[in-house]
Amino acid sequence: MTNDPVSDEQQRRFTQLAWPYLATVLRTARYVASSEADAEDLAQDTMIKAMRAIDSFRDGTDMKAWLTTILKRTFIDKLRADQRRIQPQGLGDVDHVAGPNVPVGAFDDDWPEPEELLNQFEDEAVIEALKRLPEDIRWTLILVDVEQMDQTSAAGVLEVPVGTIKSRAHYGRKMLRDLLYQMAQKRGWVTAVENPSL
Amino acid sequence: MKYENPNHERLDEATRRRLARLASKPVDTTRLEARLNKAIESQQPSNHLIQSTRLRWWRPVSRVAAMVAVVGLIGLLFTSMGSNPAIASTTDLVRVHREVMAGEPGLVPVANFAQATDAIQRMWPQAPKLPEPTVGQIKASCLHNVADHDVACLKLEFNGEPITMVVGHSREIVCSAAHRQVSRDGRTYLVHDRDGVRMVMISSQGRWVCLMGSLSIDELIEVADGLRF
Repeated sequence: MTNDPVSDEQQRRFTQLAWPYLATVLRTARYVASSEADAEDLAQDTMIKAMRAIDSFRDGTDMKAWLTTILKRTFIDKLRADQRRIQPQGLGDVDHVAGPNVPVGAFDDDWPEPEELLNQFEDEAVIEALKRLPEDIRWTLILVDVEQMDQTSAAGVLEVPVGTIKSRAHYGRKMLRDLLYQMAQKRGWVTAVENPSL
Repeated sequence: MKYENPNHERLDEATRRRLARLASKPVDTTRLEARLNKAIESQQPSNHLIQSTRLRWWRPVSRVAAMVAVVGLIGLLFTSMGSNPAIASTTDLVRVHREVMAGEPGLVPVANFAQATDAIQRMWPQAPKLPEPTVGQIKASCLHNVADHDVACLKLEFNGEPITMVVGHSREIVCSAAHRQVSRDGRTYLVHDRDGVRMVMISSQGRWVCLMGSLSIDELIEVADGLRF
């Protein structure tokens, strides 16, 4: 990345091709950053990098995936700069989110009307649950389910095989449901399950 | 993915749909747009610096005079960079629309886009290049002021209904916060509804454009989709 001035042509291509995805970039940044201020910084850095690198974007390819790749790299750079390390997590490393003795998917047989119950949650509650998921799994759900990116593109952005994306998405949805089910219990929307691990 | 239990497929599908709904949650990008516009301006090549390099070879008197001009230019540049883009309030925009609809005295009747561009250029030489509407008819043009910044206005007609199109420099004007977003064909529109006036806004290539009237949002987006930037 150089500090050369941005040419008019670069700016024109950037505003035409990348600017319409500003909301997508900011939304994704909000789901991965720890605060609103961090999210805006992350989104701004991503867009500035995209403008400087716009010559490397090939017309006809997926702008959303391209910007998301820049966003993810910028996010990782920021974590490293904060001297915090990303711990890549395999699925085997994460066997619970709802509690120490609660295996992932433990509540799946207890959902009465999944669609109805899930729609009772306000967006903020779903986002809160999403933010509690492990990094790699959260990124997968954001790309595949929120942003509706196809699995091949998501695999490209996250630099993992497509099979990993499929497993993470499936496993991540279960984890998310566990967290939401517990919220539903606390809110009295469903009856508490005594021993969900059985 | 194979499911151990048919209920899990239902659960997964319901979870997918719930997460997908998050993408329709409005995202207020106003502050980020303002920050980016400022950052983009600062990335532009600084002509005054190029000029000052050339000045080294000028005669001393000319050099002093030129340096004074350069200092002035730098001052101007800093002044303009220090000012944030103003937010176009929907109240202001409704006022502009009503004045255009009422046939205010400054309204210049025009028959086509070339005439409209000429009329605007005569009134405001620094006006942004108007995006050309490819649907609807152009009826008149005028200048207005929104949030202390000049804007160019065109009166259009589409499906028998009048529309006001307002165009400003996006470095000077940004959209107000309360809006929802609609994406179509790679373009993102900000949508407002105020006092019965529907508005569709877009920022593109240094220009901020607002289309407003009593037409439906879909019809306004159809006109916006047809704008040639």
